[in-house]
Amino acid sequence: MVGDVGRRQAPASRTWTRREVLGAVAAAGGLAALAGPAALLAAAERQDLRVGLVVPGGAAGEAIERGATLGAEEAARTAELLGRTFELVTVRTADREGVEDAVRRLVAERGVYAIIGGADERSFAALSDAAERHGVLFLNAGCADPVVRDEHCRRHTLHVAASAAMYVDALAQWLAGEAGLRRWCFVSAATPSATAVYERARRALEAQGGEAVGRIEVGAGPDDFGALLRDVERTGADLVFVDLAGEERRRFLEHYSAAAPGFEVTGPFEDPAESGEGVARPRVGIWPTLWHHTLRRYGATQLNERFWTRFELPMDAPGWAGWFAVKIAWEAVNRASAARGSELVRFLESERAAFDGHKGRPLSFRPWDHQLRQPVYLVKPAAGPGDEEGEVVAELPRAARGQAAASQELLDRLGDSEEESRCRLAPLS
Amino acid sequence: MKRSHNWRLWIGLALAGMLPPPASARAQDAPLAYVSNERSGTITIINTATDEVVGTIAVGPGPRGIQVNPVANRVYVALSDLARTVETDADAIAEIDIASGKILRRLPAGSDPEQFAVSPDGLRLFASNEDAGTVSIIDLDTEQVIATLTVGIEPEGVAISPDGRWVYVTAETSNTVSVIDTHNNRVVASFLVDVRPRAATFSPDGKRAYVTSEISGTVSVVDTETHQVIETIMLEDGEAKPVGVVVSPDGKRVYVANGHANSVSVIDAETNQVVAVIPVGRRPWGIAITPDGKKLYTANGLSNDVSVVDTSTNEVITTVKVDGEGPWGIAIVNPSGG
Repeated sequence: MVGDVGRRQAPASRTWTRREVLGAVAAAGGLAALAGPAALLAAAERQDLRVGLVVPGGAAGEAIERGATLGAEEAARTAELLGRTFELVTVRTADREGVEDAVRRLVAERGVYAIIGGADERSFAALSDAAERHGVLFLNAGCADPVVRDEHCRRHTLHVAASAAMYVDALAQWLAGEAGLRRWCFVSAATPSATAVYERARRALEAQGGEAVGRIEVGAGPDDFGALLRDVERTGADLVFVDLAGEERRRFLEHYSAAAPGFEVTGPFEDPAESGEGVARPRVGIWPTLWHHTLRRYGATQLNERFWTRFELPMDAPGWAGWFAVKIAWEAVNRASAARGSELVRFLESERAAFDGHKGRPLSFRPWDHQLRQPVYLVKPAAGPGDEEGEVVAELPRAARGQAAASQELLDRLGDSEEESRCRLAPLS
Repeated sequence: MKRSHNWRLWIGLALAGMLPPPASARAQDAPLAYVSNERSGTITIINTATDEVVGTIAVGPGPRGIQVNPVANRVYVALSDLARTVETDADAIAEIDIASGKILRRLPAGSDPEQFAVSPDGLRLFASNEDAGTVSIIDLDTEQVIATLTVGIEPEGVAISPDGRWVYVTAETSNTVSVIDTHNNRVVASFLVDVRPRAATFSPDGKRAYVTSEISGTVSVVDTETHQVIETIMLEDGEAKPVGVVVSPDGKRVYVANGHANSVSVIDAETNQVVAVIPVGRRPWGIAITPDGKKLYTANGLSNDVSVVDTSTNEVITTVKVDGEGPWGIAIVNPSGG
């Protein structure tokens, strides 16, 4: 038998500790400051392509990292076919100073042309600032927070993660528009972000003929969730929209599950802390997500299988976002024939930039807020032992029966229109 | 009145020694369209002279890609069960004897066989292995896999040049086409095309190849001497979902089945311009043309039928209901050879 199976693959990813990155750059001394553009150009000429992944430790960062690792391994294999190399350089750091150092040195020392991250609001903000300063592309694979994203409406920042507006539009279109659950009570934290989500969700609900019948703000550390549920019940709601995070969300859902009230439960987006292995996830309600391991169409079977084979875990939404961010970074540099941040941004804003996320439609970025247009899935989680799968109950947006809609027009039914968006992008320098 | 007129014509032609063979004889010699029905596990056979269903063969679960061996009077069909990512006994490429309609043997083909090509000399079969990211080259005499080559990620469409020298393999996730040189069974080049390439075909003179990209809604035109994309043709403003593609025997037209756009795009191969869009059944996937180039057939997966297009008018002249579900691939067999 002849053939080339088994040839050594180029290394696709490597995790650098912050100390390694700092040490390597320190060794380069004063030249490091000048090495950024030079390293970038040299990389493009050599066709050795590198992308940085900057994530905090913990479940959210690890989930994105798994997907990005798979994406990088696939990009490296494709690069090898084309006579190039592709490498993902991962730095795990959480604080602003660490993120800024990581980006500066990834660009200067490693010549990365794009950064992927955004596992939480803090690292998203720091990465967005740093990417803008260094003129490299930043692909947000995790942060949906509307306030932080509006504050960091930056030319070099593009969002693979869906916005909160996309999630609430999907929920309203399905739950109110199609399932007939039109009386919603909102339970949310007393934060500016939760208020922004509430306002946007209320508008989405009203657009579907629904009504906000109550809003209950939850302060830090409430201890009587039973009373909270009774308050919701008194509003006559047929659905509670719960926008809490972490322990509060977990406890609320625990009480909801035990009380089994006569109203449905949902929320604006998945809690990334619920990603990964051995993490307790909600067993009730209907939740919006970017991806689900039971998806089958459009090559989803194959992608889910590749992820499972690599990690022995089901592909989740942060995993998909990490995978797709790397795929976009790899394809953009090839199709734009450029590695400079400004050129990549121009390409990604253009009509030419459409990508396949195994969702059956060309996915592209909105030029006004740099949000990736994409379908959102509504998932009913696994009910418990014996039902480990859960199920996708709807894919949004949906074209009206018998009506064909162009992909872009259809996908723009989720999220903020140009008129609604608060993002005002500065011109590219 | 009309019948009487035809009768006189037949007598006249007979006296002149010009009597055409009876319709049944013509139909007997006519090419046959073999349509794989993915959901019912059957192949429907359509006589292209009468456009009537003349036979059905039960082949097993999930028949999709279907090709003719131009030498050995055989048809091959890729079979795959619902466990797409797990290799089972149901996964194979079945070889069917055209004369008897019997399955002669089942060739090994990985966990999810879908697309493949048969060499013009009828000796080798090139099958893409989607999960493994490889192409298997199978010797049809010995049934041995003689080479397994790494190609792009999620390989799908396989096409072989008319002279048998080049095999093009599309890969859906990596947006690549890998070029196999059949002289040494090695991948000698790879190039990028548009997003989610599904199928490829060569022009009859072998100078051009056409690659459909489903997500981009485009067809890439490839110079097969340099293995480079020389032009990209946008279909229906990018809203087409191109999958199957075939070139007319004279090389002048390229026909593209537009999948979920429920149409066929007709491209002038000289100008690379779309000259017509033909509405057909729902989700046309496989597409094939008769050896004389006069009729085009599309396998319509959601309407469970086959659209028959007159290529002189670019209009559907009839729709044939298949006796199965999920028509997927289509191949035209010429019983008289060639």
